[in-house]
Amino acid sequence: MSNEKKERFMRLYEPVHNRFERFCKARVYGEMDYKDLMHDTVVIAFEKFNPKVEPSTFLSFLFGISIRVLANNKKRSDKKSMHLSSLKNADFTHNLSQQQEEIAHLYQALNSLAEIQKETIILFEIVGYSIKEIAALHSSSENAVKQRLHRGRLELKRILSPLVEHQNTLKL
Amino acid sequence: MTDEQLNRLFDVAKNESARVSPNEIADWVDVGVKITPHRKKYFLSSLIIGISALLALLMWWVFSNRTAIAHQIKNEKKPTQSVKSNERSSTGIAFQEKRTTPQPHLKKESTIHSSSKQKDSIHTLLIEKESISENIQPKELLSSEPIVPKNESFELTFQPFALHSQKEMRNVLMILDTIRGYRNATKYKMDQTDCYLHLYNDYVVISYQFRGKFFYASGKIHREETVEVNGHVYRAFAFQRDNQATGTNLGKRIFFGYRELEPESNRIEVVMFSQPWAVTTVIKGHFADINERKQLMERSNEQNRKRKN
Repeated sequence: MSNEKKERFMRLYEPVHNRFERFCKARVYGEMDYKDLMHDTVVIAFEKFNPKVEPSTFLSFLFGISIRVLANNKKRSDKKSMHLSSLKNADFTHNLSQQQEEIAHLYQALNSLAEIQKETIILFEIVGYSIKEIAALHSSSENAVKQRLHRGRLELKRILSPLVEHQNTLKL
Repeated sequence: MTDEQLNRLFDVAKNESARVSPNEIADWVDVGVKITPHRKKYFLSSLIIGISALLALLMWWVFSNRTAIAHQIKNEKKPTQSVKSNERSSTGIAFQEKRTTPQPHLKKESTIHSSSKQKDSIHTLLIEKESISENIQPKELLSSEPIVPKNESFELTFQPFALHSQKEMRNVLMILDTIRGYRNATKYKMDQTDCYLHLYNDYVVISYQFRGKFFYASGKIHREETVEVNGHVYRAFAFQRDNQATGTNLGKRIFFGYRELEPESNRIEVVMFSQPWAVTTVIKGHFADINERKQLMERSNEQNRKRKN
């Protein structure tokens, strides 16, 4: 019985694994190790897993659990550990390729946005969710989601502009 | 930065390859592994800590009071004198109460710990222990007491009272000096009578007079808190008036608090609240010293003698 459950779970999980990992990586950059979030989410998801769940809703199911795990984690957050974790990420950027460095800068910029705004942009731009799906996940209206996307993008452009100017200077 | 540049960044992030393989996920997913919800963890841990703390408190209380209770039971005597109320009232109903001699004064709030302190003191405290249940109403306290005739004038003096419960050891006597409304700068001196606030264990008596206006309230404290008002921290109390002198305002709740103006300064500030915790009146005073307490007791005894005669 338990093996059947596990097989069913993995069959649903494998197609959404990449998107789920990208979400976790972008969402917790600078706060915690994204593998911890993935691990906690997957374990809880498996515990609460109902084999009758639809494949189309499985990713939303995982995101919902992740959001709650993060909310609980935030309440207990230790500032010291956050500081160390962000240092860890900062060191990591020194040995990256240019592509990875750009992604790291993007994640750092995302980290400075408000939580809900950050989540909305990650789900839309990186995970590929539609506005309707995001509105359902956050229990808000589509207009609110559009507003968050618009403002989030403006803010990101403002934060990342110095980086682009620096890169252009280097090219000269 | 342009929109195109931002979109390019997002495309790069979208196409980044995964570092965790699905096989690792399969290893994580194990039938035996369970994450205990944080709420349950917190609930269990706080339950264990709470029970341990309660047990420790109980043991400490039993141990510390064991000797005191044994000596008190041994030295128990019936009080001999009766005291009368000191509230002026047209109805003139007085509550005849068995008088007890208070302990000698300690400058600030004192805690009665053991019988050895009682032995050393000049006056011994005559305590009639009456354990009153939590649900007793103020009227029940009055029901068994005799009523004196109407139109009797009462003077404002210090009236100690019988101990009603052994809930908390406290004996604070404050002499009240000046009074003003909270939103009023005008300060009035108390009239030349005995104006005081007496906290005795979980019982309180407030009595003062200014500009001919008299205020008296007494009752058992049912609520105790620490309240912050305008940056000052007060020990706040609430009690229901049992008004041992009169039947008016019986059962009405009084909220008040006090604080020391400066540490070791002997000066106090008492505030009266109209409701928790809106300040209406500010009263300044000081802790009674040994002489003041003694004199207050003497005046009280004198008054009682006069009444008897």
